[in-house]
Amino acid sequence: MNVRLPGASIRVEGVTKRFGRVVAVDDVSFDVPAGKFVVLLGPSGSGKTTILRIVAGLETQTSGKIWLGDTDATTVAAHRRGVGYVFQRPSMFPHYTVRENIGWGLKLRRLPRVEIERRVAEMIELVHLDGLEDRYATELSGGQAQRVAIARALAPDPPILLLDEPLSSLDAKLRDQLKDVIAEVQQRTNKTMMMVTHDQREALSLADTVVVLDLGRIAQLGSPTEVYRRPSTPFVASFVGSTNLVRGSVTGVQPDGTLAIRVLGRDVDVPRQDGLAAGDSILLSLRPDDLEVIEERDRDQFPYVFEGRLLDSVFIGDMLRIEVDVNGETLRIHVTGRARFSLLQHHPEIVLIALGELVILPATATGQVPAEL
Amino acid sequence: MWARRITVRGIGRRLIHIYSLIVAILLVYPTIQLFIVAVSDDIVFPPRYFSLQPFFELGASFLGTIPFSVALGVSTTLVLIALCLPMAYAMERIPFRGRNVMGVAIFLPFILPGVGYMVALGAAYILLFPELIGSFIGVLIPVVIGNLVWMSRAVQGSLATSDASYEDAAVMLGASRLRAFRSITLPQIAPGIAVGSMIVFANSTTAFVAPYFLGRPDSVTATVNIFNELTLRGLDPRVAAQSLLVELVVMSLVLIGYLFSRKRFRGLII
Amino acid sequence: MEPGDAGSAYGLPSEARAATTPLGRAFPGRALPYLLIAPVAIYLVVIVVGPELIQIFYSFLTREQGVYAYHVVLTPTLASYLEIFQDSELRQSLLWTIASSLVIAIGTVLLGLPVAHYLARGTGRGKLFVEMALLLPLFGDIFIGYALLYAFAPQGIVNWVLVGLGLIQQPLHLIGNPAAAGFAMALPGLSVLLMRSALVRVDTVYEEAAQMLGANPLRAWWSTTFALARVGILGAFLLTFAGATGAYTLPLIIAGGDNPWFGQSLWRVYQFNNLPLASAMSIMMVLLTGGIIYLNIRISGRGSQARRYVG
Repeated sequence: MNVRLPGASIRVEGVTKRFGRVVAVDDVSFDVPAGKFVVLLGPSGSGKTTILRIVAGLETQTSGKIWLGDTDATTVAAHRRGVGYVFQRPSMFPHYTVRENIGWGLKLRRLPRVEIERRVAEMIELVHLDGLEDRYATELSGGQAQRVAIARALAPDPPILLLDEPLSSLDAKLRDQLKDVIAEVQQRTNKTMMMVTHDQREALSLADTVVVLDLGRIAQLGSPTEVYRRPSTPFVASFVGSTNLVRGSVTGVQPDGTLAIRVLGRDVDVPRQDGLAAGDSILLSLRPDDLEVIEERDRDQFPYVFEGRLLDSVFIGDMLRIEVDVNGETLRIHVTGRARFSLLQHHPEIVLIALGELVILPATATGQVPAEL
Repeated sequence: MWARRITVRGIGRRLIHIYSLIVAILLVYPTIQLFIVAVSDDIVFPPRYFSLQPFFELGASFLGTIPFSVALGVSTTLVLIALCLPMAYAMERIPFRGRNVMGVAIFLPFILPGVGYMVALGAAYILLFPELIGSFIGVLIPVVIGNLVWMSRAVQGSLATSDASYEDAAVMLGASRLRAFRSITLPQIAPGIAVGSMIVFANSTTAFVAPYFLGRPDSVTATVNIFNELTLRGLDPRVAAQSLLVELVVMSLVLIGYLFSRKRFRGLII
Repeated sequence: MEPGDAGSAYGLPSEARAATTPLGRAFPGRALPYLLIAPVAIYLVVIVVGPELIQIFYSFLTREQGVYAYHVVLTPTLASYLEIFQDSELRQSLLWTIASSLVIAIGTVLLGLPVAHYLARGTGRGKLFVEMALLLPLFGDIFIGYALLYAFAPQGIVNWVLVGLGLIQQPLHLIGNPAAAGFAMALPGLSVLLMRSALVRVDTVYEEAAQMLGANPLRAWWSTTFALARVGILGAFLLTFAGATGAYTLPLIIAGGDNPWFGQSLWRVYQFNNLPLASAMSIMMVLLTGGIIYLNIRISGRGSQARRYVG
């Protein structure tokens, strides 16, 4: 089969999954356009793997529909859905070589031997497994075995590839390598990919769209930038990267829409944001990497400057992680750069913080402020 | 929209489930059969009467075998504990040359066909120790051998999964190895010994081949007596009652051992 | 002052100064392990190896007709072994035992494999019940034997069902029938547990991966789980086969004292005081059982090589 099928879209419609009384997935719906890379991101128990398995057909949903391309795949058995799946655990067949593993799906389809060999060679080149064709699982590293799993899933040329935390079982260095392989594969094959992970760095670097899940529900859906810079709930703000969640209130709305808010003991003006009125309580997300330690003389260069007292600092090599008390709130800040280090050395007691941007979580945001930020 | 569908996988799984339950019932049925015959005082099916008479007419010869059976069970268990405890300790905690050979050797009696071995032992008795024929010791000896695998696996398994550090810590604090073993390790492996003992007791109390071959009328177990009565009197509800009682007592022990620790039990068989 | 005395106000117990094994742990003497295993080792040698050697010895002796009875003479011969094959009854007994053991073993495996699968992969409370039920044939097979007599009796349940269903007119004579004994022996028991552990070792991920690659559930199971558990299942088969060849008790109870099993024939020969023949037959059984076990070991050794240890 020489024609490369374009990726197919995925639609998850109103999917709910109950295990006894536990609701693992609660009325989740989203669309994945063909050829896009979507990442389901969330902590364990958020339902992300369950959703993936439902899309694959390995799990039956309690209610809801799954569309693969134009087809309603809701009642189609897993082995007939024609999607590729990469498992979290090592799944390379132990009793077959790399070559035999990759060609397994093709042999099943009774393709001519020559075609199988050609396709297997293509896959081996795609995932850079050259030279290892005749090895067995026990003779490969974790990363290599996962690459076999990816190549094997792609060999029958499915329009969709599903990946269940493919990097979790690997150590840090192999993880980075495999991440690059996955990114490369997506670029070269242009397939629709849906990946599940709890690692926000993987999610942000690989995804076109990130679906953040919390306890079976979608907390936020958007591009990596959107999800990181404009989190819509406290959960998203604190799960995707770390943040300081700070309370404030709206003191007034000006005619041009600018909001006057009171936060951290000061009154500041912020650009317009819809849905807020005077008197509203708000929650702000201040990322440690968005906060800067500055010198007194640079104060005027920054729109939002606060004063605080240094509480604690931990040296982590490439950055200094400090805790600053600002008007009773403790803020975590990541300080990088030699200049800043010495600044703190000279003024350990009183620290000036500049904020690049104040991110106000939407007023409609649901969910409690997490106990630990 | 409900998306319940009956998958091939689902049907297959259901069938296997049901089949397994049927097999289980089939295996339990013989016990029920004994019960039915015993409480109906009749061997006809379906049962026509109800009577507990068989339980009151168990017979002196049957009751006479009970002390022997119990004595056999208890002795076998104690002897095996005494034999296997030191051996298991050596096998699990001390590396020595010949450990693998010993591990294989323990299985030897397990694979020897029972009949043939009894004939060999009988011949050896006749030749060298004729007074053992029909004696308690004469029957005890092969029964111990037959149950060696069970006790050794139970104790060894228990030792293997227990942490040796505790015993070593005691030694470092000044206890002798024996003292440390007695006060630290022994309580640790007591559950394993208990499970092994239950199995060995159940097996040896109901031993058949050894007492049948090497015993005399006054030195047989209840199970052999049951067989003799069956041969003598045919299918008698009293005999069914006898079988049922022995089975219930013995299998309850095994079941208790099983419920005690399922994982340990599985480890015994693997 | 000795090296060991320093450091402790309470002094050091003498044990700690004793010789250490390669592990570095303080044991009183290198001979300890051998002392500990000695009782069992001696027991095995004296009680098992000894009589078996005597048996081997006897199997090569000649039986001579004396004035009133046979007696044994120290002339080495293979006559006893040959007699096993030459005597038609003994030969038939041997063949019957091997053939029926094969059938029984195949039956046990086929009947028990779904149960083993259920125990390995199934969900649900039924597992406990099934596992407990399996304890009965494992430790109480005699009682199953006794119970089946009542079940197989002309007035028993089996005949009652068969006649009631109209399948037969007259009750079957199942007691005394070797086939009935065979049936009792084919009931799933130890083999299920052995197969279960073989299946449990195989990760379910392989089956799911095969399904995602397009194999239907049955094909997926066959190519992955079964393929990887094959060696264990074969092991259960061989072990059951070996056990069935040496069967004595169950055939005796259900099929009676004239059943065709080799074990029963051995008993008969022994009753007739033909010690050399009995010994030869016994050694024959040992070889049979031992051979099968050896085969099992070889296969599982080779198996783990070929399938690249699933672990």
